[in-house]
Amino acid sequence: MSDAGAARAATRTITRGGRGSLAGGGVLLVVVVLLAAVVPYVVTLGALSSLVMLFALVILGTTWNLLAGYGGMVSVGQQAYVGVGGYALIQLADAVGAPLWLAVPAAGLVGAAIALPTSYLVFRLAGGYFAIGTWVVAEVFRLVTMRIDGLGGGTGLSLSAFRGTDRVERVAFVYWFALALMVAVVLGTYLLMRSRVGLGLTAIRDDRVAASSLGVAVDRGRRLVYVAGSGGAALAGALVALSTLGVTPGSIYSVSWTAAMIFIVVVGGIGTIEGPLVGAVLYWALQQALAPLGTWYLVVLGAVAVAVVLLAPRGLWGLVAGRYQLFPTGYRVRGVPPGAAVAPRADG
Amino acid sequence: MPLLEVSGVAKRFGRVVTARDVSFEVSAGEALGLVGPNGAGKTTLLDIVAGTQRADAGTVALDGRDITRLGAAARADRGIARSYQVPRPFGGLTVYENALVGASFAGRRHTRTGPPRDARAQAWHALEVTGLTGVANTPSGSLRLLDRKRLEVARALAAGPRLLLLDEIAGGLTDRELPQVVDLVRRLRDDGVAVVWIEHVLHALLGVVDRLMCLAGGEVIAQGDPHEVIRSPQVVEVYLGSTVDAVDAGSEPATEPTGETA
Repeated sequence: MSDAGAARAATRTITRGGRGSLAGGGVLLVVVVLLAAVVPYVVTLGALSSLVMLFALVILGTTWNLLAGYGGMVSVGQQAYVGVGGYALIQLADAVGAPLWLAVPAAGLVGAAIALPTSYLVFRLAGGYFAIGTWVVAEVFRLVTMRIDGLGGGTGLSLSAFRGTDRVERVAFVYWFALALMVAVVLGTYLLMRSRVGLGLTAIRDDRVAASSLGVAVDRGRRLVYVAGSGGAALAGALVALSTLGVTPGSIYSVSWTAAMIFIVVVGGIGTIEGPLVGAVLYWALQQALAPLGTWYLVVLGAVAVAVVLLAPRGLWGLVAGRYQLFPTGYRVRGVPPGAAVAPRADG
Repeated sequence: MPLLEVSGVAKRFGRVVTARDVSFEVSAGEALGLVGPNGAGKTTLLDIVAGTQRADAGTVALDGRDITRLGAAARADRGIARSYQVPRPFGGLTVYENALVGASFAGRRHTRTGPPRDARAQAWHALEVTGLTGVANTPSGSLRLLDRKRLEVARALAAGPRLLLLDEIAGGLTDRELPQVVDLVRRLRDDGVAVVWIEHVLHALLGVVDRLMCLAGGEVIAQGDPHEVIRSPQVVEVYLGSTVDAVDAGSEPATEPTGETA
């Protein structure tokens, strides 16, 4: 710190988070350790597989939040990259022969690589047109995939890399791997949003014109978010394919993936790191609890979404966000009592 | 050599001409006032200099280099900062974070003038000189209009500009605050910043600017010594004589309302 900075630090400090978020971070760490070291030994294999789905949902929610909550881009077409990720994983593992621990992140990179040229197409659209446009792109992806015989046409592909592997071993591998990727994605998103780039992205979301006249490279920032968010969706798609041992174009390119992302982010709390975590757990719990009810499941899901939007417009996390912050991305200036302004301020 | 050179700039929206062959220069350490009736094209001219709008014709040069084709962010990188007449805060960020955006992103291309900048200190300093430290942690979306206008200035200052473009920052200020704003702009100018200031509160403007330019219908109708410009027949005519009264009133408080932004 410079001399001038040190002198000023005597009267005020700029902090990011505090004891509260350290404690919250500790709780999260305990949860992750429990998930990694205890849960696999006390629950059934079926439960482990469904937890993998929860981890995939967290990744989906976190990356959609990056797009919509921080980038201001409401994409309804992220299933395009879920699908790309699923297919890329199977191709990389079975056709190329890459080891699975490498094939999954590589599938995410494939999604990101495809998102880059696609961004030049969809960025020509704004607002509602962007939303519809991304959905159209996703449908095109699905239709093109179905046209390619090497990708199994309309029936899809199944993953054969696990052939001969013991079931317990397989489920355990997928579980730990998915947990690690989820932690990496959430942590990576947090670090991104905490950085200077994250500050610029938030500025872009709030006012694009003002951001550009303060030197924020708006186009580059939005592209970065779109590519990273789509890579995350592809990563989740790869995990889904890994866990379910195959893909069909109808399900892996389903718009219901994006519907889930929107539910998770909007119900959990858009524009926060914590919100999608809360939303994903709720979505997953409802899915588990209501699965036997068939169609009623969707009715309840819809009712929950409507209730949350009406009663807690900033999402469930928004109810406590003022008091608690597990992932502080902002800055607090401490040591300056309100009203300590140097120049007198006008009243009224 | 002047820092900013605008030559032959033209801009029209459909049949409405907002700039016609506008040329002017501003040097480092010089303040240029910009006046004219509503719709004269003052804000459009700032947009064209800042890069948020493209001119149909003409060139903009900064420090002898043509920046006509650069976007707004690239120009901010080269040291141009502006305030908006209708405030555009980053509503989801606090006041301090708003200033921090300017301090962390703008002006990286001209740091040769000083030591590496501490963005946090620079953002804080901008809040200090604009009197916003008391609301540093307040989400900017919930600020009153007057504080939003201050934040516009604070953000532009945090960018550490070489060329500062101000768009009506004095409207609505009290008698006590007005001299502070005038002092602030004067200090910046004396520190070597080039200033272009659009202002309806004339006696505030005339307390600072070295030169005055009057626009009407997108054309420069007078440019030069502030007091000569304000008394020139063309300017008096477009202002319906009201300017002379305002100048003669001298130190009398501004009764002018915030006008378009209120």
